[in-house]
Amino acid sequence: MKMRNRHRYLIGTVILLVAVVWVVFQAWFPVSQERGYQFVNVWGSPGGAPGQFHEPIGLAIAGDHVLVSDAGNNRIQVFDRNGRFLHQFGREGSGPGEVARPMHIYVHNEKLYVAEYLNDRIQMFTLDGEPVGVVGSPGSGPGQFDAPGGVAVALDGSLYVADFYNHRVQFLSPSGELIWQIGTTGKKGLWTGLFNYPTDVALLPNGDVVVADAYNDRIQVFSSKGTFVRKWGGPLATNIPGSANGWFKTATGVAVGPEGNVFVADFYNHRIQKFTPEGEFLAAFGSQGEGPGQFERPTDVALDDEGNVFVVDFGNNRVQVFEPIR
Amino acid sequence: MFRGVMKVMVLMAVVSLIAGSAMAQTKYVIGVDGMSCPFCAYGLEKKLKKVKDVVSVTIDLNEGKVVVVAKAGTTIKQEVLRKAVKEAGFTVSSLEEVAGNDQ
Repeated sequence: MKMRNRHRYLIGTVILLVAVVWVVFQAWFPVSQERGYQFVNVWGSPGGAPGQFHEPIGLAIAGDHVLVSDAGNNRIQVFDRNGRFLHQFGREGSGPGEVARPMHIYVHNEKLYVAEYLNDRIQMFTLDGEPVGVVGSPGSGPGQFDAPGGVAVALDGSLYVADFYNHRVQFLSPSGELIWQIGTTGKKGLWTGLFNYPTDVALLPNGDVVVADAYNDRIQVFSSKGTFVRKWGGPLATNIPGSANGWFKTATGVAVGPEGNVFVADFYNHRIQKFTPEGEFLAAFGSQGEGPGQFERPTDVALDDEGNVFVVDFGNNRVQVFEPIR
Repeated sequence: MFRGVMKVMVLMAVVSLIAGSAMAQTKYVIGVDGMSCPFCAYGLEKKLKKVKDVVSVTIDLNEGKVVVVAKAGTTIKQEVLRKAVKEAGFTVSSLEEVAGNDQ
């Protein structure tokens, strides 16, 4: 009788362990739930001529135009959706209309917002390239930046800025006054609400802000009031880099698609990952290489109204376009 | 007459040498480990540009090399450059000082 009870206890324990392992495996190693994306177009090559790139970083879509921050060439290039070069603006410098290492960019209300890494400011342009204003200055005080990596703009013109070396995200009024910040200025951290070199921000349809917490290898989401909502990326989103679905090796760029899904440029995994707004893994595409559909350290991703995905293929100095497999 | 021309030529050569010397710029070629992310590399560029007497910083991400050019007639202590690289979160793998007057 005792032996039988022992057997039952043993079998129960094994079943429980298997169940726990299964649940953990499902949570940390999710499978793709979609058919994914297929390559449709590519443009760009290394260089400084119109249509060429030297270390492109960010991309934004405005109507029929695709704008790309060409960081190494210190300029913004504008293309049509098929990749035909239309015009460019910006040159190296710190004056109005000049840029120094333009990083992630954002289009709002017919204006282009450019995060300037070396000038520690967000500069605004018309879509024709006329400079129309600046927010921020160098430093670690309220409304100041130390290498802003990305910017997103709320409906009322308020700005969210990923302040890279200050390890924080600032929410600023349209004229640049601090409303709130998340993260401890100048100190990287792993706990919820802290950052380890944030590089980019994007907005969900409900106004929540999605942060690419790059070197924590995770995404963090906050409400428009600055309260924590959720995070994801590897086991418990605790800075464990990896290549499984839902894990990251430096999340450098983030965008929200027309259906509210979150797309992440997964830099050292050479791929793009797609998630629901709640962080559930949906799909991944791309691998390391120079061929069509392959990437060399992608830095940014953006979507048009039809759900086509535009990727900045940083190391290959080009832009690639993908469409959903239907 | 010939002696006069020779004197002028020697004088011009000396002036040219002195001017060349005054314009000499020292270059530092720094090998940096683990530099493949532009966010970090541009941070390094930013730090190095703030170092006194630095006039230009060129970063080759693929080669993992940084070329720093000092103001003409000045030199920069290697410890200062090493410190700037460290503050940007990188490790120096090599540091070579190259004297010259090329840009």
